Amino acid sequence: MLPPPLPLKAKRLADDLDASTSASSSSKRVKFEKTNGGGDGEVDGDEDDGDDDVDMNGEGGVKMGFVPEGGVRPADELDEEVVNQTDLTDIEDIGEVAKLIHSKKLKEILADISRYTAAPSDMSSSSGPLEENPEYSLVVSANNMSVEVDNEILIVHKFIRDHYAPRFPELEQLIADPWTYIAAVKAIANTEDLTRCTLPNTLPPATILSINLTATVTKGRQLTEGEWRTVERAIEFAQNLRIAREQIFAYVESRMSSVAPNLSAIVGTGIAAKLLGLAGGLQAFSRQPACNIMLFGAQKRTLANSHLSAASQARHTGFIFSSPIVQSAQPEDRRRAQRAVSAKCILAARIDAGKSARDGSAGRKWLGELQKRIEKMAEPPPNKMTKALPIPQETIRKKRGGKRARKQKEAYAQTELRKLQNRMEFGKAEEEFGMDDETVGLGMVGQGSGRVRGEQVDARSKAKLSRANRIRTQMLGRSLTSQDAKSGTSTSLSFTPVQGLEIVTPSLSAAARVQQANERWFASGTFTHVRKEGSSIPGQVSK
Amino acid sequence: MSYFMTHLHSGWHVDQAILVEEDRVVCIRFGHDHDPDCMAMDETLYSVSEKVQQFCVMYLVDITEVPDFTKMYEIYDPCTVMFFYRNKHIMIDLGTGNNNKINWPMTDKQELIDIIEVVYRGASKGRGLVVSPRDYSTRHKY
Repeated sequence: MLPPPLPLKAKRLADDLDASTSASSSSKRVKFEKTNGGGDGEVDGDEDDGDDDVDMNGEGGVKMGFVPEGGVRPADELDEEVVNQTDLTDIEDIGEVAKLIHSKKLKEILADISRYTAAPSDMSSSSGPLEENPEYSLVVSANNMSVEVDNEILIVHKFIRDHYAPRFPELEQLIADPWTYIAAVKAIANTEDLTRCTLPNTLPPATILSINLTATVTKGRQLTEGEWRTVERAIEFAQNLRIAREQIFAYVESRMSSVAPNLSAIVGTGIAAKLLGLAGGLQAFSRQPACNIMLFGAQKRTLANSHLSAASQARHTGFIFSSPIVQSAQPEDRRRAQRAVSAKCILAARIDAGKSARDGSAGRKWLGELQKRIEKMAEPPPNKMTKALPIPQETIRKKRGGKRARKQKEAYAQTELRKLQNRMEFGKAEEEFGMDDETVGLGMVGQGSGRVRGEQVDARSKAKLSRANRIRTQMLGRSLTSQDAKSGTSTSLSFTPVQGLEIVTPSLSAAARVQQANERWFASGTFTHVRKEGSSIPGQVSK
Repeated sequence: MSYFMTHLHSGWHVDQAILVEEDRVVCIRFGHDHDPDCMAMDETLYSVSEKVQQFCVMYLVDITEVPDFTKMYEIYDPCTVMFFYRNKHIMIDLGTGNNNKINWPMTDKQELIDIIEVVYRGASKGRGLVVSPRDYSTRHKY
């Protein structure tokens, strides 16, 4: 680990310090904090030792999200703003801040890449799991390395900007893209007259025009020999980095499209490699649910430690969110797009794990579908149609009636008994009966109304059981009686809500009961009124 | 909204419009597009026209361009709306005393729809005079 960063102004040294001495002095080192904390982009997840984690939580403010078992922690991306805020003017040697290009790790990876490119191992249809293939780990580490290289390019770009600023301070505002900027710096170089330099054709004409215009009014001064040499060396670094990056990308792309062609077709080879690396292989990745894989690479940010507002932080977004297909969606639709893409990603990964559709046709098909879907998301909702009112025609109303409606009305109609209860005889106290704390008056009920028969409860207004309900309750009663008839504890008595007491012979089965009934009614023959003596119809042979 | 609606440019056109329509009420506004009263009425007519298109069709007539009906229908107000059904003028009892026409700008859409519905219902039953659902006799609050 590097020592914690010191304030740069406190360790400002004399300008003419030799590069070699400054390199040895550790006090002049600059440390960039990765967005994810302190991780140095280890290829092996096990290398994450304890103090590294503590460091991460302590100063990072942003933590790497979940890493599944067997997965490889992805390399941490540098925050561009952090880089832009760092002042690199004091550092004379680019080698101090950009160590990657000469590092052993990058060299090893590049050497391995060239070795495997010359003699590729068969990763697509190899026997045994993919994770055991040595080339697979190279793909993952190379992909992680590409992130490191990107970080390094950011730093080198900043370094060149800081050191070239005395010559042409406005140039960095005119060109935002690092490669274009570096190309422009190389073309302008340390010329005496800025207006007379020839810019490369790769620059857009509008930019060239604005550069020429700004060059006439710029306050820049010519760089000293030493200053220009520093810039030149940094440009050389940047070009080396670019070559390394392209090499890595070409390699990862070729390998990923043979390992996971369908997945790569959807999210691109770089992100596919990141996803597989984090999950710990294609098999492990294909076993994940779609809702989990979209959080792969998501960063856990704590508001307390970071100075940024929570609104700008994209929470629950991972590698898939940064894929070109999701980014092609409108900002408000990106979360929806992310869900759709991750669902198809996991299907593609399962196809890849099952080693079918090796040409990536399924992935391409889904990519097309997703693109269509994302386009649809951006469409405005359909216009509301004004619905025409119906023609105000008066139709003849259907009158519902008949037996059923009449019965229903009768069931709720006022009965004679109720009418009597409501009636009061003048000058006589009505009979009352008490229920709890209230009394119910009986009115003229029970008093001689002059009729021979007293008023009775109307049968039509009684509560009735529906047929289905009646059958059900009967069945309940029957099952009580008919079950286990021989045990001796059963009884032929059963209580049904309809009939009260019912006596059946429990020993008789249903068929026997039918037979018994038939014996009673049809004992003398089926057609009882056809005389057996013979027919009276003329023409029939009579005995 | 008058520019969105159909104008009738001659007496013949007006006659044909009333004659040809078989099973819809024909609602004709007589007036001028530039008249403030007509503008307000046209706004209501246009916003309602799509809703009632199944039983009513609306036309605008410029009374300067087509003066043929001025005398016959006594069109002396800046904005007049009249209803016809199968070549027959349908009168409405609005409570105003003039049963022949609506001669003030209406701004309430639902009221206009209600009147058109009543006209359609009455006219399709063969009535020449229908009663408006609302009484407009107190329209001017003195």
